[in-house]
Amino acid sequence: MEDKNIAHIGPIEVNLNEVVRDPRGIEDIVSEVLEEDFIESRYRQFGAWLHMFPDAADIADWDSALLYRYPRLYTYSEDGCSDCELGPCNLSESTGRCGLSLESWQGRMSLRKACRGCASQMEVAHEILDEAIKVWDEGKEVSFGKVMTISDEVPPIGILTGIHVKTLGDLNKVQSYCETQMVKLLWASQAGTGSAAAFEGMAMHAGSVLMAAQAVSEMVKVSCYDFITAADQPLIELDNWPPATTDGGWASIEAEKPTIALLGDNFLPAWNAINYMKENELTDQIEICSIGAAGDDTARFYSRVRVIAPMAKAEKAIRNGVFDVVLATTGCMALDLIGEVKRVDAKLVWVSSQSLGDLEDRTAQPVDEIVDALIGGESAVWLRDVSKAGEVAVKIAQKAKRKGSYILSDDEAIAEATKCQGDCDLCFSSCPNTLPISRAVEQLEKGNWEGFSEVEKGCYFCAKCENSCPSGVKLRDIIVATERKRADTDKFVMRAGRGVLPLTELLQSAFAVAWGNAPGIVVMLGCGNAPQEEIAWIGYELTRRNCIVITAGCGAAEIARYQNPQNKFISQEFVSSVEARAFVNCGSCSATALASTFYMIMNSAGGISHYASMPEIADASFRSGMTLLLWGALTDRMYAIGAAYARLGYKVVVGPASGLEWNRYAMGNRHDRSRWWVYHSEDGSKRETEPAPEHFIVPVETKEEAITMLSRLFMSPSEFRESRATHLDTMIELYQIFYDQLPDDWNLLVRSHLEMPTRHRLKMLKMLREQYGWETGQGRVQKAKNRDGDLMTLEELAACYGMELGVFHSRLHRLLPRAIRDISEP
Amino acid sequence: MSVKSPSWIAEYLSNDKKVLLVAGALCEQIDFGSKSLLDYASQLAETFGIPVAATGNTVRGFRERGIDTRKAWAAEIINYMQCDEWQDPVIDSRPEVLVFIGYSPMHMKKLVCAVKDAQTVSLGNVYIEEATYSLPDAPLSRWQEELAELVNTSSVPTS
Repeated sequence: MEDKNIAHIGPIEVNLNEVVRDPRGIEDIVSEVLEEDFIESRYRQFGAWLHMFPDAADIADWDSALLYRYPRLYTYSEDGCSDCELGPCNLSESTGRCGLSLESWQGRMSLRKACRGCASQMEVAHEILDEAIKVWDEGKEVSFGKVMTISDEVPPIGILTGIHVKTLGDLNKVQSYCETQMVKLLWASQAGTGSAAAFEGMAMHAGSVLMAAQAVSEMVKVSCYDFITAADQPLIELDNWPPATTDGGWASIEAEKPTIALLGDNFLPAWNAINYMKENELTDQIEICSIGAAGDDTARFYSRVRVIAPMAKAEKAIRNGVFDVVLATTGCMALDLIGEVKRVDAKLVWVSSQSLGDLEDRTAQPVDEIVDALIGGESAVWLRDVSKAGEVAVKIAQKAKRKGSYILSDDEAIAEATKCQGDCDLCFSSCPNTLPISRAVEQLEKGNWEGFSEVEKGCYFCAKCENSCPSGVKLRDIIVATERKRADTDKFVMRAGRGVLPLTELLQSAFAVAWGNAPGIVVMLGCGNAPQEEIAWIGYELTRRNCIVITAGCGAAEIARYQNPQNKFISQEFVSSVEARAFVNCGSCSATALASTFYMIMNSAGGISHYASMPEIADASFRSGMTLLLWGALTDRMYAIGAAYARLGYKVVVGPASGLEWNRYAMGNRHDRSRWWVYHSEDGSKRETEPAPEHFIVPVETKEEAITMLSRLFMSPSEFRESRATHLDTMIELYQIFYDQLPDDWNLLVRSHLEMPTRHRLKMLKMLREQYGWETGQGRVQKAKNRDGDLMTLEELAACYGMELGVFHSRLHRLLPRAIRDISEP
Repeated sequence: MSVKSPSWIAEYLSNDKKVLLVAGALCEQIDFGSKSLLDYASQLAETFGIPVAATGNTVRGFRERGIDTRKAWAAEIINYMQCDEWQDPVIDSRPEVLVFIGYSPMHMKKLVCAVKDAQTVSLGNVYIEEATYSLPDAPLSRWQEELAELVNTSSVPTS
């Protein structure tokens, strides 16, 4: 009888107990991964250790390696814990009753925030999967589309869990694992007593679990609901696919038609509404608009959706008074949907397992009875049937009759402004985006809307200004009235989300990335709370500087609004395939998991399996110029996503206001030489390297700081000459454009004159000689000075500082080749 | 910690302490009409001889006003405060007092909370309880008056 604990990688017999902590019950899953996705030469050289369905502790060594080099910086103001019945405990004076220190408690708060962020989307993944299983059963086959190999198939799921998903039943196993992990992490976030580092590792694990659940959603969408997917497109067409024909903006809506706004994370009510419209030939008669994820998803199966606003601006959008029906599900943030729809006589169809306000669950009632109740005067209904909800929404839209404009007239707005007693500036002081609201009010009192025109663009309707106003000025109504003034010209086009980044497509970008044509890979995300013009500017600047820019979620549409001086939108100017100078949209919020999968290139580049091998993949990713920019990270979900990306080897930059709201960062100190080392693969020794990438999770204040910081984080030891030259050139250029200086300590990043940007070379050589004591002449470095102050040739420098070009190195001893592990100490 | 008047802060900054002025992006964005917040920040640096960590995009503006400084990053300055050895180019040794100007109230609060083993002064228009010393809540007009009082107060301590 075949021993189920033995698998074969080529001719090599592998005992599962030697590669997995506990293979019991999953022997077939482990065997499949080893036999189908492991390369014999890689296994012989490196061995394998798979974290199948891991707990946080199974990946803790990688997390610790990251957090060692990039120690935590906390900005919490609280120093007491009241989490249990034995408290409260003042942690600034001593440890808590349970032994928890202040720093550990701060780590626990970080985990708690990540868990909150994880839970919101996990619920939706469960509902989507649950519905799919009911309709198709667990045996239905799933995939992301036509893929080449097992490696290509499920990276966000496989990299964490190790399972090669083939059916809805497999996805159910993944979802079940994710939910179990959530329970463990939630409990730890309430009552755990570990170290701060352990909690931060768990926070990263929460992010990884979230990404796996996101991938479950994405796989269901493609396999069961025919969402478009890049995997099914010929590679040659991807540079203009999907076409830039998805309309957005207020002016894209045919305002004379009834309008349904889709809102929230769950696309199923929208799916059913649109199918009902198609079956009843109503698609020409009803406008479908999108707020947040549900709408972003809709663009992948219905081309006539109008993208209007990110989720952060949902209330602002509703108050514009354009939508007749809001078809809403749970999302990333809690909103006063009932209050907002009542103000504008719209009707809300709330679809969720959770209640909303005092709404009664009317799922059992007949459709026409529900419709009549809402047309008869009720504002909202709660349903727990996605199919019924879709039909109800469409029928209400057909019958709804609303009064007209719900917007302040100019006279009314000026009258509101006149209520201001003046000179308190509390509105300005309370605004998270420090918008000049008080000045705008002063101007509007005289009939000048210019100030509010600027305020409106940066406002995401948080209401802090209005709540702080002692005169009761209806600031948000004024802001919406301002928005209406530009509505006629608010129009843009974008590409619908394309889903995955197929491995074949990623491979074409290898030369751009490794040999320096593209300064870096930037995944750009945002919730929409940062000023839209800023995130759009950043997206444009990075793309035009040849970066590979990948986006998903609410930020995608915010960036897409950018218009160049020739009036082309960003999606019209740049290609959409993964290559230098490209702008790629993966889809809705759950597609942020897919946007992260650039690491798949490590499979081809290094033969690393994508299954249950997060440390190996992340270690390799860390050596590449992969970065994440969060511009406007309003929600806890974004915190979890940031942590997940960081764990995958992305360097994370956060801003503007959100940057310092997070309470936790992980930053390097280039002056602390004890932290800048790696294990050399030739002998396992610790080799000091240049301080790159300098930070792990870092906040910035301005959009100029964002792209300049990214340029600093693109660099890593052992990158090829062309890459280093491009990175130095980009960093120096940006410092000079924005700050009229070179970066500090740029000399630490110089390995050779061959990598100095040509246009700066002579100046840099002169500075190295005059300021840093190097010997230079004839356009080259004769002798370099290392950090101990010793002069040496470039060959001698390369042998003791930094990594030789292209040489493998690692942050974890156990990731070194077997032969090297055997002869060296960690 | 406690609200202090501009004159008190002026005297405090005149004492023999190692002070670093950390100036944020709002210095460029807040304009009082006759002067900008960056003008006051520059005058503060000049009057009290305080080195400036020019964060955000403020470095160019400081140089235009005759203040010799380098581009700095707010989070990096705070991060360096956690370390034993100090090697930042803006100031030659570890500061004992960090004076923050040009940050939103929320940012100000986070920055001062993160500072270890040093005193902090908040020069915004919102009282920051977590700072060692802070200007009080004030509308923009009174804030401007306070800043003017601060920079116009002589650097010689009153007896």
